[in-house]
Amino acid sequence: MNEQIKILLKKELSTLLRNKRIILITMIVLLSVSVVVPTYVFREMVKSTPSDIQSRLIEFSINFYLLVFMIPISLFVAYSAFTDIFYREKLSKTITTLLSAPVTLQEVLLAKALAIIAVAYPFLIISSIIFPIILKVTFPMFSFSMIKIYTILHLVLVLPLFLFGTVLLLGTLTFISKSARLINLIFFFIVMGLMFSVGRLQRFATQNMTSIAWYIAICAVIVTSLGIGIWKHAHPEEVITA
Amino acid sequence: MSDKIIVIKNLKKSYKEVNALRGISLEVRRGQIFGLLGPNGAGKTTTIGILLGLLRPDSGSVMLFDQEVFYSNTKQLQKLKEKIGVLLETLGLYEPMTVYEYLMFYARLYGLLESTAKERVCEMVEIFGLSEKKGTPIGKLSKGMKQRVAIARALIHNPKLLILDEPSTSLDPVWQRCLREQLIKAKANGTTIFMCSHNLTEVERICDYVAIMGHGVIKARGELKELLNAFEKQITIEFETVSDLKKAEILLESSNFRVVSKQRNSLVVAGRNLKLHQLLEILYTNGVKVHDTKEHFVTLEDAYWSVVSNE
Repeated sequence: MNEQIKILLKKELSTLLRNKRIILITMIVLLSVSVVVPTYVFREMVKSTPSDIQSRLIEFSINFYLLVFMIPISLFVAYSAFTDIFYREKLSKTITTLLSAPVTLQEVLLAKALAIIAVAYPFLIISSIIFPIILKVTFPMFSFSMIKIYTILHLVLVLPLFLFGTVLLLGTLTFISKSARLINLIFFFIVMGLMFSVGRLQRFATQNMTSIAWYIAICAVIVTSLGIGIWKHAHPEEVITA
Repeated sequence: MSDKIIVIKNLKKSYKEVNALRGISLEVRRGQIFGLLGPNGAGKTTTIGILLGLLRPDSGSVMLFDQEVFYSNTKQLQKLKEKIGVLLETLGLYEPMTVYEYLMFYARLYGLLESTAKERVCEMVEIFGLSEKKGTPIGKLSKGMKQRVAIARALIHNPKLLILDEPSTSLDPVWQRCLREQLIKAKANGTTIFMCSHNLTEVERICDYVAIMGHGVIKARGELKELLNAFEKQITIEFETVSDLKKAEILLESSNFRVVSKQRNSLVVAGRNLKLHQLLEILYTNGVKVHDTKEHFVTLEDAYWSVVSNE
């Protein structure tokens, strides 16, 4: 990591952690919801569901878990860190000033994304630990080996996709031109789609390991090509209202 | 290294249907304080944006320190930016940060070591009267104080080139004076200054070279004295009697002086390089009695008005 990113990251983190009380309360609420809802509601639902659609319900419950946990975390942390984002003009001014210093737009966006990850990551790790427990409690028919695969996929796929989704979200909220914002938003939804299809993958994974390899390969190709495209595209002019 | 710090050639930039810059060219020499004037929308801020590589020009070239800005790779551009201190019209301050944190953050971004950065921040807050506000979040400061924080940020790394957009906005006369002193001091230390301003008094006091922009082109330029000489000066002559006035009008017009206005007992003569003693010599040798005279020296404001009103 170059020196400029370290300095930017330190600044983003110090700004972010000013809101630590609100972050903590929100995280506790989110954790509670993400634990209580799947374990109680879905367990009851699975019990009363015919066995042929049980697997779909399990997939849905995993996606629900991701939805409840991931999206609010990314949005909330982004909001706490970059309140300016919701006032595009203000964000444009601070970034414009920053870009007049020896810093690139890529470094600024990366530092912001890393700061979000740095704060959200502990909660994501916690989620990875409680995730198998929730699964075992919710779906007692799951074996431990299946749960292990679920957890590994969660760490290998969900977390990187979450990071990339955050960068795309920042791009969507930061850029001025409608076309760049639209591209970022479409990419964001693609990445979110990939993230939520992890639930489906996790279901398949218990049946066919080759499909996991394919899935990871496809994700890597899509994410890398989107990443390169956006990285090359990001020019200071995108955030400046002249 | 050449003596020219900024060289802009035939720069053009448009936003949709608005031509912000229509082919401007200018040069700023080492150690010069260059003042760029012009009404709102003249293209000054766009020029600064392009100078800093923040905006892409449609055509033309920009050289900073003998380096073409738009053909530089990221590393070269970053090296270039390390030499420049910038104050943009929109301050873009991080309001939750304290004055100290903010200045330290920028000092480190500009490559100062931690210890040097600390010393420099202390020096800057002292100069700009922010010592007591060091620990205050920027969002809680007054407008003038925020402006001082932004100026301190621009000067924090002793830049070789200072680019300032409206530096004295929101500053009271005391801090305007302090700013002028700091700019003159920076110039004495070899810093080149490129500033855009609406504060004509400030420009007149500190700038060596002035350019006036309008509608995306440079309408007038030159060293301050040279620029002012290019504009018409006026002399008012009061006469003792009406007959003296009538006689003087005929004499002056026949000697190719331009009488621009006439009142009951006075005439106003206008012209470039107009000399009072020449007028008086003509009048006295022809027996015209002059009661009083008044020379109206051309100020930068007159020159500015003349350029802007001709648009």
